[in-house]
Amino acid sequence: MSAAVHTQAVLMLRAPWQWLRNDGRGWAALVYAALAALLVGVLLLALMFWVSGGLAKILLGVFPAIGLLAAWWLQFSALLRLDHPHAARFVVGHGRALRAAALGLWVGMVAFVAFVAAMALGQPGGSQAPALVAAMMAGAALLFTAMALRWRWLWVMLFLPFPVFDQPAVRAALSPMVATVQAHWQAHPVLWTLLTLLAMAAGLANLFGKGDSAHSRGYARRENLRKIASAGALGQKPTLAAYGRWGEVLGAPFQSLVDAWLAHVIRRASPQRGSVMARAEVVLQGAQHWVRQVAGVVMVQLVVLIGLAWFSHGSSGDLAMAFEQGQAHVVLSIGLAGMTIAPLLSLPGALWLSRREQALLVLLPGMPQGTALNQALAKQQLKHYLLIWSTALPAFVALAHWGQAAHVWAVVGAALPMSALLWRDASRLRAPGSVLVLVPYLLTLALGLAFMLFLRWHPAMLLPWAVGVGLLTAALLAWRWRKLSHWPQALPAGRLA
Amino acid sequence: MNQHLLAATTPTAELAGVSLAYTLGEPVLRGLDWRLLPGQVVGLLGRNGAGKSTLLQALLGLLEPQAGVVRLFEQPVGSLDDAARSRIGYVPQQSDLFEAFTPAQLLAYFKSFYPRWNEAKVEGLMSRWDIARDKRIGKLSVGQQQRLSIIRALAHDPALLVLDEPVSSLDPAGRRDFLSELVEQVLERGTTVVFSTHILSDLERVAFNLAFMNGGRIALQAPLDELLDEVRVLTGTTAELQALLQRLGAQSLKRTPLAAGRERVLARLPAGVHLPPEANADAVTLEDLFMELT
Repeated sequence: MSAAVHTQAVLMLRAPWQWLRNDGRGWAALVYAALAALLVGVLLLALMFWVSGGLAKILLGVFPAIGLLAAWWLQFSALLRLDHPHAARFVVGHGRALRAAALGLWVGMVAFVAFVAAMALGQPGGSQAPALVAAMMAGAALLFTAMALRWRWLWVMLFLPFPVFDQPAVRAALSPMVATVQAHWQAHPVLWTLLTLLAMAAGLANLFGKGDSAHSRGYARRENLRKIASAGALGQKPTLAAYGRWGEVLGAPFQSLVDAWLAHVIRRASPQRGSVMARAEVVLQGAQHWVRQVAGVVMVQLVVLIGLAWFSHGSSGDLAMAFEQGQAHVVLSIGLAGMTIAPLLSLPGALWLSRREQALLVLLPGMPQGTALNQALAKQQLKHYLLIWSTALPAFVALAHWGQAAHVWAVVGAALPMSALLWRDASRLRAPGSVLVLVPYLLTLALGLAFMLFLRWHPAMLLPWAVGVGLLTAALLAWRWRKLSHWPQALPAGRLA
Repeated sequence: MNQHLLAATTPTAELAGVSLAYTLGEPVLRGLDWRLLPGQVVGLLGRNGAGKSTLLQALLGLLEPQAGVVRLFEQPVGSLDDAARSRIGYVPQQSDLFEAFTPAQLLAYFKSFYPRWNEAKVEGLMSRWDIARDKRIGKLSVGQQQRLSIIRALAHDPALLVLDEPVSSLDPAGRRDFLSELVEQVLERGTTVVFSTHILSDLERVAFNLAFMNGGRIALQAPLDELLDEVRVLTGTTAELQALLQRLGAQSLKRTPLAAGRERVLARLPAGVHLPPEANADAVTLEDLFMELT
């Protein structure tokens, strides 16, 4: 490898970390690293003091393996992002440097795993088999991850082996072949391991594009998915159409609903403030419009209710036992409550994304101005939030009924006072970041867990608790309502940030 | 000169002492004064980052200045009534807006807000510019998105049309179509038009007035024909040029020192005044004016 290629490859491996720094998310990465270190520390302590020897050994192997895979995922994703078709075609040595970076990292990780396996499982002067098997397994896992990052549909393949290879006929058909491979490998383990690893390395080197039109198409697809994932991390659920042609087909019913609502509000248009804001919200909420979110909540509820009915009455086993004892209901209630606070995360992001359209909206005749606009927007957001919240209630009624546990209401109850967080000074809104999106979730969860403990110990206090939550919500909203009349006009959002 | 400009007495827009800075940033507008008269067509020129978009947004009340006053149709821009807002048309710099709408939905949407809507004009432009009605705007080409944005802004027959680089993504045929539509709008309705652009040939074709933006202010505003007739580049010694400018009553727009005590002066002569034959003077083009004044 020439010095130039080596330098380029090292720079490529540094890229994901530099992107974090450039985006101003370096400190967030440090917070996440500290949290991960804390988690690992707690797990190690748990392994040392509370977990039995055999299980501890397995876990000691599993956690570093997950860490290694995560690091590979991050680095190889960055290499794929750098594998731009224009660079592949026009930048001399770009492809070589990409391959060198990927292969160098892969060889390093495989060698590391083999070394650790030899140290942990091998015996002095004994067989090298554990290290060789570990090297092959690590190489295959890393190669599969790399391939699946390039062709996302491969993730589905992960689940195929279980139903397919579980069939006795399949196992019987494959067993002679497996026996032959085993025999060859046992006869010359080092040679076959090296040949296998070489084949994997060749496969890895071929994952990068050649700058042709297929490369351009694949790159565009991957970039689209990456952007969707980034938006998702900020609470922005894109429309299904963003996923391409099939997404568009699957999302057509949701889009039809929004189109029908738009046609309805245009048909019923009048200079009244309610009518003006109903039309404005179609733009302000964009892909997070309440019609779309309500449809989503209804669909999820149907699935949950069908599942609940089936597990509660028609199944047996551990899961059914968990449902019978009400534990699964509580876990489900936490998951479903996440759905009710979705507007808390998505509406500020939607305001941010529609800020350029807002420049046209505020010039429209009939649009309220100043404090009147702030109040109209706040009412609209609260209505949206309460609508999603109340649409999700049937699932909680069912959970409370089947689970016979008052504390299934805890987290969804905690979501109610959180509605006050919706009302903020939109004129100073900034691009939402992942940490800011996490805060409302964590706050809701913390308050919900506190409520859960209270209701678990005092289930008879459900009604007074509900009244208390209502009063707390009203007090918080009254406080925010007074504040929003002093804020600058909300739209266009973010202009004073 | 435009007849509407001569007839006008009340400005359509008036900015006085407007200063505006973004958070933690240098001021973009510094005590800017500007008047737009009814029927005036103004091409706003300035280098990248000079603050043209900021000025247009402040003019429309989309950005609040830290100092100064902005009035549209004799009303404070922060509290325009519905009648005033229905007289404004705006084409922002970005054309990729309302991407989830179809053009038909977008036009129906905007129509629902305005008391007046020129359906014939919309239909005519939609057909002439060949815009697919039921394709999502996100899937239209950038040029078509920009055309649609222009149709939307013209559809309610505004009295003030503000266009922020409206033709940057249009091909020459599209630009020609747009400009002829603009001229028609001005001649038919006496609309006040202000638009920023970098395509100087378009300004030569349409803009009756040019406003040059520099240092957060309007450095010069005058009709294009007058500028081409009256502005000259004079070269000579400082003393000679000083004497010449004083004698002619000319206005010095920009002085550039040269070697050996000489200098080059961009000067505007009073109307009807001619330079003496011995003066070392060159006529200017619009590009020269752009380079010197922005």
